[in-house]
Amino acid sequence: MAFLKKRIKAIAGALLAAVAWALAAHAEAPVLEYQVKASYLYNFARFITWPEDVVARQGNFNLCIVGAERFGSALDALAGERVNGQTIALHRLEQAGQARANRCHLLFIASGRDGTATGGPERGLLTIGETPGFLERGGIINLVEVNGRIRFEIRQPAARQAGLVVSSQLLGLAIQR
Amino acid sequence: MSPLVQGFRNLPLRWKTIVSMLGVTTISLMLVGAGQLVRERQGFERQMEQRLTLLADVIGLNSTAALAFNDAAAATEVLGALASDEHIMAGALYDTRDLLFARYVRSDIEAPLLDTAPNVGRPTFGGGMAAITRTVKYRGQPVGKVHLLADTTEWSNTLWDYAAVAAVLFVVVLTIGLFVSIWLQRLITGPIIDLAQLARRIGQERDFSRRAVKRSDDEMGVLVDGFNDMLDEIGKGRAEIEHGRDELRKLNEQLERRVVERTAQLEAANKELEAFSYSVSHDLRAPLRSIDGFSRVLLDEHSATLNADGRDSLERVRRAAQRMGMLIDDLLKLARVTRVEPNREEVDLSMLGREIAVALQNQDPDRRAQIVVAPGLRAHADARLLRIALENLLGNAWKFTGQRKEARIELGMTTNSAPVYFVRDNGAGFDMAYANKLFAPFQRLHSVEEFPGTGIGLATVQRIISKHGGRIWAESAVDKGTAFFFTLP
Repeated sequence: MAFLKKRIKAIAGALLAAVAWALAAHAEAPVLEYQVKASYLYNFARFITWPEDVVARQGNFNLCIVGAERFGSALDALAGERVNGQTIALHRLEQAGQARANRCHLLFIASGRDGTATGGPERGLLTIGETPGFLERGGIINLVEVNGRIRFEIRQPAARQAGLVVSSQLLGLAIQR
Repeated sequence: MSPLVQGFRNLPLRWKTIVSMLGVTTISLMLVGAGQLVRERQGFERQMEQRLTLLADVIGLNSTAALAFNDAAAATEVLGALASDEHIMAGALYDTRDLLFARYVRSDIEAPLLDTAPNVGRPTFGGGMAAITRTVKYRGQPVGKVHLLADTTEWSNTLWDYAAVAAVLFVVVLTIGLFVSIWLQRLITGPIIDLAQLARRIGQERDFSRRAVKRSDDEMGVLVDGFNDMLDEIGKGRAEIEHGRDELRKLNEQLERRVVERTAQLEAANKELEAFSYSVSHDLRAPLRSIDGFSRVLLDEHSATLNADGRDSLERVRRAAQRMGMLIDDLLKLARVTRVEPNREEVDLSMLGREIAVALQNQDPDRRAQIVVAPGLRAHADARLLRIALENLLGNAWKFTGQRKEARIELGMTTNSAPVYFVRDNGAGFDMAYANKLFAPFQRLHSVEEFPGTGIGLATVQRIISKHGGRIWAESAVDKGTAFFFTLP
C-alpha cells in the first residue's frame, strides 16, 4: 500500500508540476497543454462515479483517446494507474465509433476529430472533448482555455443520462453556462 | 526553627484553632481551584482540538477537487468560509508538493503562514495560538494539506473570568470559614481558655474554693473533673496545714508564755536567794568577827589563866571562825560574780597568769613548782572577773600539786575552730565519775584535811565563764593530774 501511495503521490506531483509549467508557458509548448489535459482526464475519472453495474462488468478502467498522438508520452504515466479500485487500460482509437467495441469508460476526442461523435450520451461512457460546441453535439465535458488556463464545462443532464454521478465539487469548478 | 513556626507556637489557643482551620480551608480551596483550572485548561484544549480537527477536515474535504484541478480561486473561496469562525486567524492549503496553494487570513491581523506545509499532526498550542495541519485526501489518496491557525487568547479571558470567580468564591468561603472557625473554636477551645483563666486567677488570688464549670462529657469534661478534684485536694491540704499552723502557733505562744513565767519566777527566786545569801553572809560576819576578836583577846590577855586544854579549844574556835570567814568571803564573791555583768575589754591572759603565779610563789616561798605560762594569750573579757577565774584555777592547780616533787602547772591555749584556754597540772587529779559534781558549790572531791578549800572556787569560775557565754570542762584521772578547758567567745 505504502509503495502504491508513494507512486500515486509521485505521479500526481509530476502532473501538477506539469500543470504549473503549462500555466507559465503553455503557448510555446503544446505538449505541456496535453500533459495538463492528461492529468485532468485522470482526475475526472476520480471525481465522477460510474454506475455500479458498469464497474462490476469490466475488469479494467478503459481510457480511450481519439487523437492520442497529441499527448505524446504524457499518457504513458497514466497506464497501469488505479482509479476507483480499477486499473487504467489505455486505448488509442482512430475514431469515436470504436468506443463501444473497446468498452470504454472514458472517451477523449481531440479537436477536429469529433466528426464521428455518437450524438447522444451512452450509458457508462464519459465523453470529453476540446472543441467548442462539443456539448451541444452530445458530449458531457468540454475542455476550454480561459485566460491561459485550461478549464472545463459540464453538461449535467447528459452526465445523468449516461448514469454518471458528477461530484458536486467538480460541478463547482466547472464553468457556469 | 523558623520564626513563623515559633510565632504560631506562642499564639493563644484561640488563634491557633482559627488559623489552623482557615489554613486548611485555604489550602483546600487552592488545591481544588488549581485542579479545576487544570481541568478547565484540558477541557479547553480538547474542545479546541476537536473543533480545529473538524474544521480542517471539512475545509480539506471541500477543497479536494480544487486541489486536484489546481483551481486556486475555488480553493480560496472554500477557505473564505473560515471567516464565519471568529477564532480562526488563518487557514492555508498546500498542494501535494507541500507548496502554498491557497490562503485565508482574518482581515484584522497578519498571520504567520508558511510557504511550505508544516508537519501533519495533532494541534499544537502556544503563543496564544493553536495550530493544526492535516492531510487532505480524496478517496484515500492525498491531494494536499490543510493548515489552520486559531486564536486561543479566549483562554486568557476564560482564565481571568475563572480567577475572578475563584477570588470571589475564596473571599466568601474564607469569610464563612472564619465565622465557622470562630464558632468552632468557642466550642473547642472555650472550655480550655476558661480553665486556663481560672487556673491563672486561682494562682493569683490563692482562692482554692473556686471550681471549674463542666460543660461536656468529653476529654475536657475529664480535665475539668480532674482539675476540680485537684482543687479539692489542695483545699483540704491547705486547710490541714492552716489548722496545723494555728495549733503550732498556739502551742508556741503557750510555751513562750510559760517560759516567760518560769523565767520570771526563776529570776525572782534567784534574786531572793542571792539577796538572802548576801545578807546572810554579810550579817554572819559581824558575830563571827566578835567570836574571832574575843577569842583572840582571851588568848592574848588571859592565856595565863587558861590551861593547855583551854588554849587549844580557843585556838580551835579561832581556826573555825577564820575558816567560816573564808567561807563567807567566798560566798560573797560568788554572789558578787553572779550579780555583776561582764565588762569586756582586751585582756592579756599571759600577763595575768604570770602575776598570779608570782603571787602564789610569794605566798608559799618554800614550794618548788614550775608554772609555765604560754606567751601572747589574749581574750576579750572582763579583766576583773577573769582574774578571779584564773586565781581560782591556778590556785587549785597550786594546791593539788602540793604533794608533787616536780610540780608543773601550765596555762595555754589550743586552737580548734575557736580558741580553747586550758590550765593543766600534774597534781592529784580526780575520778572522772565525779566530774558532774565539780562545779557545784560546796561540793568537794577531797577532804579538807587532804586539801583545804571551801568548795566554792570552781562554782565561781563556772559562773564567770558562763557569764561570758563560754563553757568550761575538765579532764582528769586520779594521780594523773587535771586539765581545765574553757572558752571565751
